[in-house]
Amino acid sequence: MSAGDGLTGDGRADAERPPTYEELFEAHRRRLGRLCRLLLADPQESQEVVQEVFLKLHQAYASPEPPSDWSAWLTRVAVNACHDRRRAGWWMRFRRYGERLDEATLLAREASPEERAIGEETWRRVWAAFRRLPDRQREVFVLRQLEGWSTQAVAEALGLRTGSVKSHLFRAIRRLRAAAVGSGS
Amino acid sequence: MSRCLSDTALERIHAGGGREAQRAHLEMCAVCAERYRRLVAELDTISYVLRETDEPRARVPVLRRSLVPIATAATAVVAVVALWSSLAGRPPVAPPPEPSQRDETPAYLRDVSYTMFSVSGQAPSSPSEVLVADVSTAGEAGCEWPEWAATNGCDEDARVDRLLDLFRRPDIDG
Repeated sequence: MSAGDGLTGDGRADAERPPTYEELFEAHRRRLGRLCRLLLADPQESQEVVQEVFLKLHQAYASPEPPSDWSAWLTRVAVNACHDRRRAGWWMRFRRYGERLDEATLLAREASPEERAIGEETWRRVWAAFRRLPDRQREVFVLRQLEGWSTQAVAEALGLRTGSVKSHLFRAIRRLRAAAVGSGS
Repeated sequence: MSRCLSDTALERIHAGGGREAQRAHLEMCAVCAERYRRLVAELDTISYVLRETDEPRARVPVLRRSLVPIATAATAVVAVVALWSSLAGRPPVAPPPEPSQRDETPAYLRDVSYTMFSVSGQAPSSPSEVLVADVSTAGEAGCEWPEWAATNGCDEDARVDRLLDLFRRPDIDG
């Protein structure tokens, strides 16, 4: 993001002027899409959640007291929306199992150069271990390790104690490392 | 603390936990510091995988994937059948007799009366035949609401009584 678009590198507004809605959308669209896909595993569902998040952004943008830190606000809204989705019940789980057959062709997708560089086995094991993590551990790992949030910020966003955040992160690290190391890489 | 840290301790430290003594040891011990660097590198790789690569599609077996909707549909069918059978518990309505069956009874009675009351092998006197015919066809011609119900009633007992009356007529018996 360039300096003249009203946003800093992480999508926050310059001191001169607040970012426009379009600027916020462009700055955070990919990041939030990625975040929701990590938390939900279903591309279609994560797209729906991202749309929900930007709808809320639109409402918040027009509100008299908009958030000061749009990046943190959007992340928090996205995490909560994903959390709500996962609690939506059996229908969502049914949808995941009832994948359309035409998507099955993607099973045979070739690994990309990055994935080959890491090692296909490591790549598969890490993703599999990540998907097997309990929801809380996954959320904490994503926010703390991938998004770079502080323990305190994660605790506030997820409504946990800081000790719980550390505990969830420790368990997630253990499982993911075991998966990565188990591949022999 | 002189002993080197376990992997678990290093992971706890990275997660923001760990005891003060363990942190102090990590700062002083070159071996543990190297192991900790490796742990961080592994986590960087894991983060890279999750951040930059696409997730492999879940390997849901085709059999299992196709069984889910089939099982759901089968359950729905069973539920509908169970509901239907519980609602339709009343006895089935007998189908109306076919026209050929309806004609058999009057014809039979006509034959019986002809055989019983004929003296000369000719057709019997008209009253009995007419009466039998009346009784036998009463259910069809006049057993329609409201004509029959208003006069004689439309039940089987009444028809049998009228038939028996024929045999008690003095002029025939005599």
